[in-house]
Amino acid sequence: MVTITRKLGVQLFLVVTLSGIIPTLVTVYICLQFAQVRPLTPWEMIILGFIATGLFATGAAQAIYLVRHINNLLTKANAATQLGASRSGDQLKQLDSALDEMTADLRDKVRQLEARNEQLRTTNSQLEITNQNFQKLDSFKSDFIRFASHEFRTPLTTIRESVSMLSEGLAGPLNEKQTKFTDIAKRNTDRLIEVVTSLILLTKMRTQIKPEEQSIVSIKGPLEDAIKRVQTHPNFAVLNVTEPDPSQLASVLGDRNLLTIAIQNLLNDALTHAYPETQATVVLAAEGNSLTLTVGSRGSRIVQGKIGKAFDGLRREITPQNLPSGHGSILDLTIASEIVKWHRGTLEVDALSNGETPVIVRLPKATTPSPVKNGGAESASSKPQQPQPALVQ
Amino acid sequence: MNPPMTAASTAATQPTAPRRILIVDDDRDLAEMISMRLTASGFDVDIANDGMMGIAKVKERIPDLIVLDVMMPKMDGFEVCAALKEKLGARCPKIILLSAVTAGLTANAEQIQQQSGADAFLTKPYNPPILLAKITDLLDL
Repeated sequence: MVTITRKLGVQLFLVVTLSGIIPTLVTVYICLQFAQVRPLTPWEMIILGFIATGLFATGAAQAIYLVRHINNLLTKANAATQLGASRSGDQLKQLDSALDEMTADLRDKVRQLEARNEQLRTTNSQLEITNQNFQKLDSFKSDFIRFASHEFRTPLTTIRESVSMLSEGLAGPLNEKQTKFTDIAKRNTDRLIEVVTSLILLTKMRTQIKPEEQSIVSIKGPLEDAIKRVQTHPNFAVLNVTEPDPSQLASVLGDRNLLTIAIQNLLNDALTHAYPETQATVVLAAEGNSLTLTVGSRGSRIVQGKIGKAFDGLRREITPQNLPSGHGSILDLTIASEIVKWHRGTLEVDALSNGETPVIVRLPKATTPSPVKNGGAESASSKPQQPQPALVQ
Repeated sequence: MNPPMTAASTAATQPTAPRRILIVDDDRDLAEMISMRLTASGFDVDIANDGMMGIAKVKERIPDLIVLDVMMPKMDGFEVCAALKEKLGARCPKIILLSAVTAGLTANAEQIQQQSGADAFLTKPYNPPILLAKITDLLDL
């Protein structure tokens, strides 16, 4: 602004000088030159005076016009500058206001973040405590399994062995009543051992995180083993196994011992609850990608109204009459169910119109061909393609 | 659960000359029961109630076979087994491990047997005829 005014002043000075004073001075000079040659007449002096005055007046008028014009320009420029400054001020105020709001927002958000951070710290410490508690619980479960395994099984083994030796007559001959008592003691010790063993197995299955090494198992092996194990069952004679077609003998990826236990439990359950003069049936079939094992019998094994609860933990058994105890435990179906789930299979009960409630087990077939060794497990080094089954919690 | 001992099975396990069996188990009652069972089958039986005592008895006189419990104070069955195998080498008697505890879901007898270096592995509650059959088999009777 200051720079512009100075420039205009210099220009004004030059214009006034050039357009007014200089022509006047030139006129005066010419008059003086004439005056040296001869004295000027009054008319000549008047005319020269008019010319000089005209020239001066013209220059002055031009100068005044220029000054006014410049003044106008300066006024406009000043107004424009003032308007621009005013606009910038508003914008700055708006900007300042917006920045204030943003700062306030940011402070608020920082406070919220700090509060959340604190909450997270608290939650984290709570989680750590919970985790420690879980670890303690896990350790307690492991200790319980070890304790139950050792502290229950060992004395039970001793009791059973004592009773067995008594009943075998190793401590002398027994009379009929004594034999009856030792038989009852032996059977019930066996029953107790089975319950303890089942509980330990169930606890292990529900708590063990790491699945054991898997192998491809032909279902024929566990089925044959399970049948052998139930041969001492009083109702074994009613068991009718449909000889499977060799094409139906598919393999599954799993644990042979566990599969044997599952099938044994199902057979025990079917035999124990079979009505007199009926059959317990076992049918093995391959359907698509699944292997189906159906174990059925007509009896009181699963009350039709309670089919949905057949595998829920401790099922209250309906003890058949005239059947000695000690064949299977109340956890048989639950354990079978856990084992089947552990192998990524399904287990369901069908309700047939004839009153039969067959248990249908479906297991996924192993994806790789299964060269069967000794009707059972193949080496784990065969690297089966099927994913490792996860434990059912 | 277990079939009763029959006269035939007892006779089958009756050794011609008494073989010496050492039972190492901290459960005195069970050790006594096994001892009675084996004595009735014609074996010469001795008992040790912990691992250290078991090793000491083996040093005194090497038995033909040891029935060794796994869970014991001071030295567990695996440690006793390893110590005997290391000290006696080829002269080490046959060892049957007996355990109520299994680490896995089911007892993988073959695996435990291989890892421990024992000659056989049985879980408690053991089946007397199976125990006798194992002993007979291991002693070539």
